[in-house]
Amino acid sequence: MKLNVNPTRMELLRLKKRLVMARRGHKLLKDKQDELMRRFLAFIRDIRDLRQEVEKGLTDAFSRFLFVSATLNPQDLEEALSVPGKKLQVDVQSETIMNLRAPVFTPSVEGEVICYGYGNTSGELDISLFSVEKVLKKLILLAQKEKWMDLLADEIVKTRRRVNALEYVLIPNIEETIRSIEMKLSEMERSNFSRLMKVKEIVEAH
Amino acid sequence: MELRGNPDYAYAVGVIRVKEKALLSQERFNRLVEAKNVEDLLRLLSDTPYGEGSHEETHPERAIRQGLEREFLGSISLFSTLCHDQTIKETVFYRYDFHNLKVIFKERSAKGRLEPARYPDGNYPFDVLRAAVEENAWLDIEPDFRDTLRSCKAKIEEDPLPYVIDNTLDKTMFAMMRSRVKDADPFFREWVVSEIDLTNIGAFFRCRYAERPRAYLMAALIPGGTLDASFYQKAWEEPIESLPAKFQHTSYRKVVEKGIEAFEKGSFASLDRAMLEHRLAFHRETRNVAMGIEPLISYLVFKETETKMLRMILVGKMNRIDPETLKEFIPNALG
Amino acid sequence: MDFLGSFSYAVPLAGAALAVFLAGFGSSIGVGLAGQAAGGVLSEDPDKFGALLILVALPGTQGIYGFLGGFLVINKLGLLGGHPAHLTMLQAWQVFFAALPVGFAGWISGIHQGKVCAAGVAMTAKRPETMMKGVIYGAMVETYAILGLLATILLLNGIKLS
Repeated sequence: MKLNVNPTRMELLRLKKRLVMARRGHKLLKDKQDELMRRFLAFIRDIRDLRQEVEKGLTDAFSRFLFVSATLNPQDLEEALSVPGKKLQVDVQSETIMNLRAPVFTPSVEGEVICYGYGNTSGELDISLFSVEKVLKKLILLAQKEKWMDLLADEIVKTRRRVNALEYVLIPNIEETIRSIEMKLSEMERSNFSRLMKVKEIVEAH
Repeated sequence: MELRGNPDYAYAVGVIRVKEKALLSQERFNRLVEAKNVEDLLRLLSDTPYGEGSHEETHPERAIRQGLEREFLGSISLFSTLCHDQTIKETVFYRYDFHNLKVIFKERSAKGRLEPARYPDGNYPFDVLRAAVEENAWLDIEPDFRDTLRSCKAKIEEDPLPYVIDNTLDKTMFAMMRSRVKDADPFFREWVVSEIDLTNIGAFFRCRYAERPRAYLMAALIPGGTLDASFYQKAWEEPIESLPAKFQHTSYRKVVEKGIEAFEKGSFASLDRAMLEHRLAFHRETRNVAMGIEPLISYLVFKETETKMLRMILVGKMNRIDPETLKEFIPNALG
Repeated sequence: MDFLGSFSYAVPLAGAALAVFLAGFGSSIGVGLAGQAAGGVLSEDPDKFGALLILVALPGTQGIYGFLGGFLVINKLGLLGGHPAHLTMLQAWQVFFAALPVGFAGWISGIHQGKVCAAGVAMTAKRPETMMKGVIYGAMVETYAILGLLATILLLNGIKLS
């Protein structure tokens, strides 16, 4: 689509400058997009392994807990777990990757996961809590990484939209406008020229 | 004339024998484990006490859970009506008193009410215990229980960790139980001692698995078992394989062997099961007692085990766990 | 009747009373025990009434034997027919001791039979088909009550009263 500008030589010069700028911007963004994609893919592989590990750990912990919770009297279980012994705190700081503000979680865990006595509870309950404990730090790391991936994915979408806007809209538009201005200018030149010829002819006839 | 058995319990034993007949047999459990789903499980339970009134509740899971709750609480109140021996009744009901005390102390830590954690009232109503702990209203509490409770409270307030609450109250409970059965029939003494031993052996393996310091175990051990603290202290230093030999002359050898398995398998399921089997075997012997309180206590234990196992099967069916895995959790010699 | 004669009647009558009293005492404890056990069973399973009836009734026989023993003593003394026998002091004591076996055997065996039957009731509650076994064990205790009665009868027969 042609830009709505006056077909003047000034505009032409300005547009040409813009075109150079747009091309350079396009190239930069394209590079950025490639880099983002590269990182994103590496990230995905990384997260997939971690996620599998966490999921496996959690499934194990939950299925154990499921059984244990059923083999104890509900009242005993309720009492045993009513006051947790473990305190979990997550500090959030931010870090910049690829110009993005990404959060970094630092968990600080204190206290014992076993918060009950040995009467009327079972050893299997301990184990199920241990397996939750083991997977807990990884779970927080996974949360952080998935958030990063989320941000990266957003950024990729944004960058791609910009690249596409430059590549398929702005640059072709400027080019078209430049072409049309040039045509218009040469058209004007030609008409000017013919007008001059005509004037010259009239002058010579006298 | 010294005769074993207490003729006052002829009626009670008559009732218990009929009730025992209604306990689910091993074969029944094997069938229940194979149930296709929760509806099927409910159908298989329909001719047992758990199935009574199930047609009023349309949701099968809720129906089974209601049945379990009803039967479990029913067994406690049955015991309460049949047992006339105040000492034994108190001994058995300490478990509920002390559990409710744990709940009261934990409510203080959690700053909220923990209704679902309460057992039915033991020797004292829940509110009396709560008034005693929270408002120092000791009037309704027997003098000896009052003193023990006071010292527990002082100890817990020094260090109000949930673990300390449980541990202090467990120890006090067993001490009270022991002093109650001191002059009773050997059965009751053996019963309390075996409960202490099983708790201690469990604590030993669980501490060792969790790689806790030795002092932690020493603090958790309950005095009064057949094996004293110095035994566990020595055993703590030994390599794990040499333990069964140390328990050679006790009845806990099998339990200990299963405890060792936990270290290889990373699961305490078989230890839990072995402990349960040990307990059931102890209580099974009261089947020969024609007259006495023993069958009443044993019935309570069998019924509690039965409801636990049924709940486990229910949860297993709801989560489509395969029958073989479920079977691993079910002890032999049920019913 | 002279003073000595009337006193000599008191001794065998005391024997007869003991026979009835002791055996009845044993029986009532025995039936009481078995009855309680049966009551417990019936409170949960009322259909068992018929099966438990024999077991509950079994310890009751001692009382009957005791009564029979007492009756035989009274008969021996001729108190029923209106022609009382003449007794010497020695004979009076003989009759007294002759009455004791059924009393003591009935007393002790009644209590124990009650226990055996209570156990039998508990057994029948679990497995109804074992009811007869419980009855047989109860009947073994019964033997000694019968032997006691038999001894009393033989002893009474052995005493010659004029």
